[in-house]
Amino acid sequence: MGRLIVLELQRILRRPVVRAAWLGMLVLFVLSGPLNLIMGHRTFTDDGKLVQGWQAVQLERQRAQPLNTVWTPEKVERWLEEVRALLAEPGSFSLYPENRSYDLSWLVRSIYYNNYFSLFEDLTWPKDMVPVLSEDAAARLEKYQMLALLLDQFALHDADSLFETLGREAFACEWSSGLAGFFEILGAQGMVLWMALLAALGTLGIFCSDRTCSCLDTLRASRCGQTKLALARMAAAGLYGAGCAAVWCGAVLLGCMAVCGAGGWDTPAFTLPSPYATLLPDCTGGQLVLLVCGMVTLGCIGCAMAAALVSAVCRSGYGAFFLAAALAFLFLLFSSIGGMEGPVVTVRTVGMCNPLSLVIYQNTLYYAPGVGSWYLPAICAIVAVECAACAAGAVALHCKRP
Amino acid sequence: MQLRLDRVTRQFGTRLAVDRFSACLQPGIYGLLGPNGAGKTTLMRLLCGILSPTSGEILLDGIPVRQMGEHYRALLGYLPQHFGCYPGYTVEQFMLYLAAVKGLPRSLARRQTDRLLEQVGLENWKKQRVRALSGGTLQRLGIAQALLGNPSILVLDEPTSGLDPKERIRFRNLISEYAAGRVVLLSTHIVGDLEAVAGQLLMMDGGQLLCQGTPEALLRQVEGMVWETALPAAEARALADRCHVTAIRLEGETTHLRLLADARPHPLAQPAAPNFEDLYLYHFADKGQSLWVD
Repeated sequence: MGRLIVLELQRILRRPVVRAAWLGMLVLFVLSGPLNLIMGHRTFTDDGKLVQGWQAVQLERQRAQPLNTVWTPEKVERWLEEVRALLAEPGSFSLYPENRSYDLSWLVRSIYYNNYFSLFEDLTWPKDMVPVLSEDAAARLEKYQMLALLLDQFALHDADSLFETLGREAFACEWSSGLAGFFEILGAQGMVLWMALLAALGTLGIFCSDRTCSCLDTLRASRCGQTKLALARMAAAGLYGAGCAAVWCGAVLLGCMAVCGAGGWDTPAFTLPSPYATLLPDCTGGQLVLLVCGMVTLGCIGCAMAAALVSAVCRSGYGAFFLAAALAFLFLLFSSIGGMEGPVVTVRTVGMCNPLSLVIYQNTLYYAPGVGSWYLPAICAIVAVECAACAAGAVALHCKRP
Repeated sequence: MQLRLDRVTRQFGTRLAVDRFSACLQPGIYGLLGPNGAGKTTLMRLLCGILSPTSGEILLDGIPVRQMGEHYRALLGYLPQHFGCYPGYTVEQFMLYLAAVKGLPRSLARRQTDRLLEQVGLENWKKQRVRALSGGTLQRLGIAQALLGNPSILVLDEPTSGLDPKERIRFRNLISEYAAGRVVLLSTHIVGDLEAVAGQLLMMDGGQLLCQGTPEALLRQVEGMVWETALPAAEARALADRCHVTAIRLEGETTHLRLLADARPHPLAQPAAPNFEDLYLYHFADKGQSLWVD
C-alpha cells in the first residue's frame, strides 16, 4: 500500500499542469512574499529621511538591537524619560482638534492606534483624534513605536505580571523574529488561497485521467484492484494537500526568518507586532505558528480530497475542473470569506464546513480564540469527517462496477 | 488449471451482449473469432472481472472467480482493446507503475520490465514518453504490460492491431512460447494470426458461442465448399451476386474469384483448400450481401 501511495503521489507531481502551477506559484510567492515584505518596507532615518527596502530592514534591525534585551524597570523608566523629553519639545507635534488636551498615556495610545488602528476597526476609536506629528517628530518617534506598544500594554495589564510573563523584551521582535512577517504574508489571503487551489488542482485528474487515458480496464484487471488503488489515491491526495501546505508554510516561514531573524518562538503571541497575533493572548509565537499552519494544512487536505472526489465523478479533467470551480464558488458565496459582515454564527458554521475557508487566514481568526476549547477539536473533527466522506465517496464511485 | 464459463450472460439494457456463453478453457491458446459486435470484448471483460455477469458463473478450478477477488486477478494479464497509458510517463515508468499495481516486488518488477521490453522490441524506447509512441509501439507496450507478473491467464483483445508484419510474427512467437501451461485467450480480426498460434478456436456471434474446436476440425466444416475461378468481368459479377466471394483479383480483362458455395458454382470453378478467411465468411458473411464493390 505504501508503495502505491508513493507512486500515486509521483503521478500527481508528474502532471504538466501541476508542475506549471507550482512554477507559477513559486513566482507568485517570490514576488508577493518575502520580496514584497522587504521591498515594501519603509522607515525614517534619524535625520528624518525616508528609506525603504533592504536598507529600511537593516536600519530597523539596528534599532531593535538595543531594545532586544532583558526588560528591567530601570530601562523602561529611561525610555519613558526619553519620550517625555521628546514630548516636551515645542512644535514637535500638534493635535487635531487643537483644543484637545492630552496626557502622556493618551498620546502614547494615540501613536499606538495610529500605527495599528487597522486592528481595531470594530472599535469606535475616534480616528480624527489621532495626533498629526511633524515630520521630524515622526521620524524620532518611530523608534519608540515599540515602546508605545509597551506602554499601551501597561495600561491594559498589570505591569508586574507582565514582567514575569515576558522576562524578556519582546516588543522589538519584529526585527528579531520572522514570525511577524510570516503572519503578515499569511494575512495576504490570496497567497494561501492559491495554495489551496493548487492542492485541488493536483488531485483533479487523479481518477478521471484513467478514463481519458484509457487505462481504466488495465487497472481494473490488475491485482490490487479498484478499491485498494482508489484508497491509495485518496491517501496520496491527502498527503499532497498536506505537502502543499507544508511547502508553502515552510517556505514562507524560512524566508521570513532568514530576512528578519529566527527568534520569538517562546514569547507571548500578543507581543508580536502583527494584528493577527493579538487575538491569541494565551499562545506563544510558536504555538500560534503551529495553529495557523495546522489550519492551512487541514484546509489544503480537505480541498485536495474534495477535488479527488470530483475527479471520481467526472469523465474528464476539464469536467472536473469546472465542477470543482462551481462548487468552490458556491461554498465561498455562503461562507463570507474575507469579510466580517454577516452574522458571525452563520459565517462560523458555514466556514467550518468549507475546507477552502480554513486556509483563508481571515477566517482562521474566528477559530483562533477557541484554542484550548472545544472549538478547535470540533473543526478538526469536521474536516476529518469531510475527508473520510470524500475518500469513501471517491472509492465507491470509482469502484462502481459497470 | 481449468477456466470454465457456465452460461455466462451479460445484458446492457435490453441488449444481450453475451448470451449463455459456456466454454471450458484449459492451458493452451484460444482464438476468439467473431464479427464486430459479436460480444468478444464484453466476454473478455467478464473474464477479467471488469464486468459482472448478469447471470451465469465463471469458475477457476471449480471456484467462482468473483469469490477469489485479488487471488484471481493476480493470475490475470489483460490487454484491452483500446489500450492507453498516462502520457507523461516514460515507457519504463509506466511498466514499473503497473508492476506495482500488480503487486510485484520492486526488484522483480525491474527485472521483468527489462526482459519484457526487450521481448517486444522496446528496449530502446524505455526512456521515451508514452505520448511520443506510435500506435504500433503503444500496442507492443500493451502486450508487455499484460505479460507482467507471468500471468497464468492471459486475455488479449486484438493484440496485433496496428502491428507491422514483423512485429506480428514476433508477437506470435512470443505468445506461442509463453502459452505453455497457461490459458491464453486472444481475439483478433487478423485470422492469419489465429491460424498461426491458436490451438483452439471459439467462434461467436450475437453473444453466443457458435462453435469451438481445433482449427483443423473447424476448417473441415468448409471443406469442398471453396472454389476458385477466372472469368470475364461481367460473368464474374453475376457469379458474385449468387455466391460468397472471399477474394477478388483482377488480371487484365479476367477476374479471379475465390468463392464459397455448397456445390460447384460455375463449370470452370475448381475446388480449393479452405483457409480461415473462408471459414470466417462461411459463418459470418450476411447471406444476401455481396462483397463485390463496384
